[in-house]
This record gives sequence, structure tokens and C-alpha cells, in this order.
Amino acid sequence: MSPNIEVEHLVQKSRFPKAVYETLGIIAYFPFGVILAVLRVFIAVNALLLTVMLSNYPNIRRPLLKVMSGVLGLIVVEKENSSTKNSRVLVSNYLSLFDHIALHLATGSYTPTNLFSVPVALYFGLISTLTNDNNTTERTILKQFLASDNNNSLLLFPEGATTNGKCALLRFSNVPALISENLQPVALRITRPSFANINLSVLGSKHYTEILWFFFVPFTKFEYKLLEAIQRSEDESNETFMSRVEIAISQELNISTSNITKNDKNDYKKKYFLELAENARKRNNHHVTLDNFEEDPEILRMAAQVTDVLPYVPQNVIVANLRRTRCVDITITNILDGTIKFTPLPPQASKEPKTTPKKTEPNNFGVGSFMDRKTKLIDEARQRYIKKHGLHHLVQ
Amino acid sequence: MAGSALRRLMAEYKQLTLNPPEGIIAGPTSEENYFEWEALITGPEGTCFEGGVFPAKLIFPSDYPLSPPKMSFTCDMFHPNIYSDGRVCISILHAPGDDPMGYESSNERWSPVQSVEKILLSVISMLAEPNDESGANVDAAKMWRDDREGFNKVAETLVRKTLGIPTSK
Repeated sequence: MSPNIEVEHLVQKSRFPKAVYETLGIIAYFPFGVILAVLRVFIAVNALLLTVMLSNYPNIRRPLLKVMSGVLGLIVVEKENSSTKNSRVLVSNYLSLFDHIALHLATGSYTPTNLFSVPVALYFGLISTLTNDNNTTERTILKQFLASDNNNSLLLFPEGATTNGKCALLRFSNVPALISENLQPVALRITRPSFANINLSVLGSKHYTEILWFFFVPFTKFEYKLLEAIQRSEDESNETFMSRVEIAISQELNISTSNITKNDKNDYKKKYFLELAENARKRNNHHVTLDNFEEDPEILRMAAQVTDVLPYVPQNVIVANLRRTRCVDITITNILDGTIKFTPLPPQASKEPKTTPKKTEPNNFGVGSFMDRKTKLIDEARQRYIKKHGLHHLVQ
Repeated sequence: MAGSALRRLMAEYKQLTLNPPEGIIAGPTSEENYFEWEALITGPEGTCFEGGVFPAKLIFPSDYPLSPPKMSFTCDMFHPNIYSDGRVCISILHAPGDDPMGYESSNERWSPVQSVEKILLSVISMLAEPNDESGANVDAAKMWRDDREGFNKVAETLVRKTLGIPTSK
């Protein structure tokens, strides 16, 4: 277990690889990929229909579906030295949305899901854990499934969330140990051709985008290796039992185990997207301030006029609208009519600029603060009166 | 109701600020209350009130512009159409049907198409040409009619008072 592994190392943030030649490969392949994806969407519909129709004939269905999946780009390869399946509970590392399909095709195992209800789930190699009964838990359903004599096996992903499979495993949950005393680890590895090495399971991506990219790449190779089944020894706790399974898988894949759980991954995802949103916001703000800075003086002059009439409207709102209208009157009307949304400045803040020397400076347009214009009018009238009536002696 | 009144008042303030009529300034007393305005009116040239700057107060009703505002001078005034407490009595400030004196023609009355600017311009022409039939200030009306010289003297003191210039005597 290596202590210095961060969540960051376990997830993929970008769909596209970083290497230059790989990027060029994708650009060259792109048109083919798009055509392939479109074709495969239709084939996938057919495959789905087949899956449902042939659900009563598992012996025909699996080979047929294998071919269909191959056409869709899902290639399953069993690695050499793989053990035979000798446990009814398989435990695998979790890499993508398609893992359970690949392993279902290869081993005929079923994976629990809470997305579909009972009959639908079975068509897709899934077991529904949805129940109407509150007392039945996922565990009891899975135990019932194993207790039934249909000899079907169960595939579990105790990591609970996908990783990029390059660095470490997420911490395993105890669920498999609670269900069975005999677990068979499966080491799964996924590769895509280097000229279309689109990353699987990108952080925060939607299922349908995963599927579309899956159809886009020429093929995705799922290599699995069944490891020796592990039997719980006497008095062994769930934790140690699971950690033995965990270590077996990690050694086979040549990666380390970690203490990171799927919750950590979730938290990281939230934090990452918050940061992205924050950065986007900052960039926008920066954009606005830059714009103000470079604002043409005419707009600033008009903005000052609008501010005189409507002192509670923030400057940036006025400037933004003036840039569109180029007219003081239209902007004022827009603001008064409520076409523009803004947060009014507090009255204290709106009064302050009036007392600053910059604002009160009378300009040639007769637009200064109300107080100033009043004083100016009286002063001018006074001077005129004194001059006209020759009353200098009275005021000196 | 008050919202549309406020909008109308803001628009009028805008108009008066951007295109102020000669010798007139008007605007809300404070940013918080757009329903109380202050106005300065310069006495028209060639009249006894020439050169004076007369402060006045306008109070707008909440259903403005359906109802007219009330206007009163806040300085001492001596004029046939201004009550001794400063209230201005002109037809444009009265809604049709509301005719205390009974001789105002209805086309000069208040209607929503009128505006603060028109009121203030009317007041200026009222200063220039008092209507001595109105009994707002009987003493002033009588003096205006019978002793124009005396009236002019009183007006001059008022003008100087508004400008802060002591009278010559």
C-alpha cells in the first residue's frame, strides 16, 4: 500500500490523451470514428432486441451476443494462465461502464444493479437489487441468488467506482465477503488502439457520452484473467479476507492498493467541478474589468449621465447596456422599465460618489450633482444681479 | 401604482437633468424619496422678479401622474397667485373639476400629459404675468392692481433676499 497516492492519480480528467502522436492519430481517425459510431448505434439497437428476444435460450444467446459485441467494438480476451472459474462469486477491479458486459459475455456471471427492475436486468446480465420490500437488502437478494440452484455466478465490483487502472485500486468494500466464503479475483485490463486512445471513464462524464465514445473507437479490448479462488480461512475477519483479494488483484495488475474510497473520489469530483466553475467565473470577471478599462470615453461620459439620474444602478450594468444602445435615453428607459436586471447599490454607496471631488465637478453638459447645480444657479444669478445693479459696494 | 409613479418621476428627472430649461433646476430632495422634489426658479427677465432664484417644493401623490403634484415656495413670496404660506395657485396644478376659484379654463388644467417641466414653466409665466383675478393673496392682487411701484419694491426685496444681497436702504 503506497501512502502518497492521491485521488487525482486514479481518475481521468480529459477524454483525450496528452501525447502528440496520439492526438494526431485521433484527428486523422475522427471522420471514420463518427461514421462507425453512427452505424454502431443502429447495430446496438439490434443487439439489444436480440438480447431480449433470446433471453430464454442462453446457449444461443451468448455466442451470438459475443459476435454482436465484437461488431460494436467490445472484444473480450482471456489472458493466458487464467485459472478456470471455480467460485460462484467473482470479484473484479472496476474500470468502465462496460466491464460487466465484457465479463458477462466471457464468464456468464451476473452483476447486481439498482438501475433496472427484475426482468429487464436479467436480459443484460444484471441482477436487480430493487425491491418494494424494505426488509430485503441487497445482500439478502444476492444470497438468495446464490442459494438458488441455477448455478449462475455473481460478479462484484467492490471498489464501487471506476478508476483509470493505472495507479492503484480504490479501497474494497466488504460486501463480497459478507455474501460468500469463497471469492475468485478477476484482474481486468482495458486497452484501446493507440491511434484512437480515447480515455475510458472520464471524471463526471455521463453514461451516454461513454457509450458514444465507445462506439467511436474501432475497438476496446477487455483482457481478463481469472486468479486462484481465495477461500476464507477460519476466524478471518471480513476486512482481512477482502484485503487478500485486493492484494491478489493489485499484484496481478502490477498496481498498488490504496486507502482511497469511492466517497473520496466523489468528493474529489465535486471539488474539481467547483474549481472549474470558479475559474470560468474568474475568467469572465477578468474579461469585464478589462473591457471597462478600455472603455471608450464617450461611453464613460454617457454612463456618468445615467449615474446622475439613477445613482443606485451599478456602473458596470450601465456601461454594458450603453455599449449596446449607445444612447443615454434608451438605457435609462431600459433600466426604468426593468428590462435590465441588476442589484441596486446601497443608498450610502450611491451617495458617496456625489461628495467626491471627481463626481461633483461640473461639466459642460449641465449635468453635475443636484446640489452643485443649485449652488451654481444661485451664484450665477447673484453675480448677474450684482453686476446689473452695480451693487458691489453692498456685498463687499 | 407607486411603481409607475416612481418610474414616471425618474424619467422626468432624467429629462430635466439632461435638457434643463433655462433658469430652472428641479430634482428629488433625496435619493430615497422621489415623491418630494426641490426646484429653483429664476425670476423671468423684464419683470419685477428678474434675477431672483426662488426655491420651491413639489410634493407628488402616489398616483402621479393621474393627480397633480402640490407646489409651494419655501421662500417669502408676495404674489397675487401665491398664498402667504407659499402654496402656488395656478390652473395646471388643479385637476379638471377641482376648481376652487371657478374661472380656470379646463385646457390649462392638470392631466397626465403635463409634466414637472410644464408646471415650472407655467410658474415662470405666472411670475411674469400675475392673474390678479385670483384671490390667493388678496393684498398682493390689490397692490399689483393699484400700486405697481410698491409691488415692484416688495418684489425687489424678495429677489435680493433669495440671493443673499442686503437691500440698499
